[in-house]
Amino acid sequence: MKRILLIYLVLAFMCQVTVTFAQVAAKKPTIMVVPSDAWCIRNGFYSEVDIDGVKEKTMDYAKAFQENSDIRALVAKMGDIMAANQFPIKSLEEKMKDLATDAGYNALVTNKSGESIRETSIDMLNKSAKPDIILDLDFDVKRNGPRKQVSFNLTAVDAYSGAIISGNTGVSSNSSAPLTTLLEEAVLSFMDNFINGLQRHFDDMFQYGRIIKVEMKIFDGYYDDFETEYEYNGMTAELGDIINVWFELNAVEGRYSEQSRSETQMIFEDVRMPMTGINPLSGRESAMDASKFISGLTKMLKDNYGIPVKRFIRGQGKVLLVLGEK
Amino acid sequence: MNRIITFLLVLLISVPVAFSQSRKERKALFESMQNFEVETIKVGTDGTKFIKVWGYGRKVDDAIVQAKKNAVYACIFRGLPANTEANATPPLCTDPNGYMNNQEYFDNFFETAGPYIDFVNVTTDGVPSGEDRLKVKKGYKVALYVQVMHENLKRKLQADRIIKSLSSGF
Repeated sequence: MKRILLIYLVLAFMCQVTVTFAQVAAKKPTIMVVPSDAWCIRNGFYSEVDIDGVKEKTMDYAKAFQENSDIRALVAKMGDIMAANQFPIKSLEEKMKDLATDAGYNALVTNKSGESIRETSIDMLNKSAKPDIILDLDFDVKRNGPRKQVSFNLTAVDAYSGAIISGNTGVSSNSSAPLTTLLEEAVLSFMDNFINGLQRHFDDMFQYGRIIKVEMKIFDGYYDDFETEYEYNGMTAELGDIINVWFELNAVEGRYSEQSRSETQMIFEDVRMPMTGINPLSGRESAMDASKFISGLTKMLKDNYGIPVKRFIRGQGKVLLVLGEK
Repeated sequence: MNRIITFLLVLLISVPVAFSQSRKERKALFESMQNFEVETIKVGTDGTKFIKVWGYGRKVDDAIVQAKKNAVYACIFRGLPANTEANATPPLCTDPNGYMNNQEYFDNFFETAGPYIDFVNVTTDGVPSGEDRLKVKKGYKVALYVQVMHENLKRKLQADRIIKSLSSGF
């Protein structure tokens, strides 16, 4: 009996140790290859929309993937290499098909009373394809008689900060080989450099935190604004300054930048959010995202100053906070 | 007058010392493992790099062995230069002190016929000849056209926790 009890205790201790020391994995950013606007326009995959007399070009990605086999070959090869690096990329083509199917399916879902799913306009906007890292791909095939040469430009852009993470340009060999072979050669030529650029970005993220953007606004009709004065640690300070102090204390190494401030709007860019942190609800360490990170600020505003805040989250790195109401 | 004589004496002694140091440095450089030439020939097939690499040795066989080691060493620590048809390949180990920090691992890895040999395919049979085989003062300098199994090499270093994978931490 004593032996069984001892084994049980040892096992329980080992489980405890495993849970305590298990490293919490950070949230994996989603990556998507998107044909560049320049490529879409060159190849006629766009439509023109008249907005207040100004003609705006809208890219038609669905048509591009349906009608151009070259872009599909390039995306497939890049997807293959990224999967081999244990970092599969999301397919824009499949995401668009998925969105169309979901829209049709959700429209048909009703309960027994005939009520359909409640959906706000923000929900509809949030459904769009939102990768965390956009791989902007441009390529051009130059023909010299029977020979062909592919020139390419691949840029990885952080979807929230707009920062260029990795950029690669180059040309394939000038050859009469089939175009698919040249496209594959181009991908093989730049992928090592490109992956190295991504690795640098991830190393930076783990050292200094993920970059997010926070916008703060005020609902029309709310009586307070960012210049309203409150008491803070025995002093009187503007709400905007108190919010600034929160970012100073909570961003990794106090790294953030207040891009603009008025009485009704504050924009914080390059806010370095830690990759992991304690979830205030569960009390356990978990992967951090913008929603969890900013909940500390909304809690402080509500608990200390009675200011209700509505949160709108866009992906892992963009938050809109509107003060005045839930 | 005495001062001038002292100054000239110091100068006379220090000049040969300075030159002998540079000779030593040149010798160390020649014998250093990092002292080799490597060039990218063209984009290799999936997961491989096709390069031309040089090696030094007292005999031709020694130089061939050294060239194979150099090919793998270049992929891990130096990276491969670009040419008109292929982009540059960055080194697999981006830590500048990568060898020093894993001295025992790499000393064993680069032992003659050690683990490095699994990642090199020689694309030509036989002993290099013509301009790819040069007689130098203390032996031979030979060039090999080799295919390095770059992707397999990366997997091996990741599995042995020498370098990080792209997804580590996520």
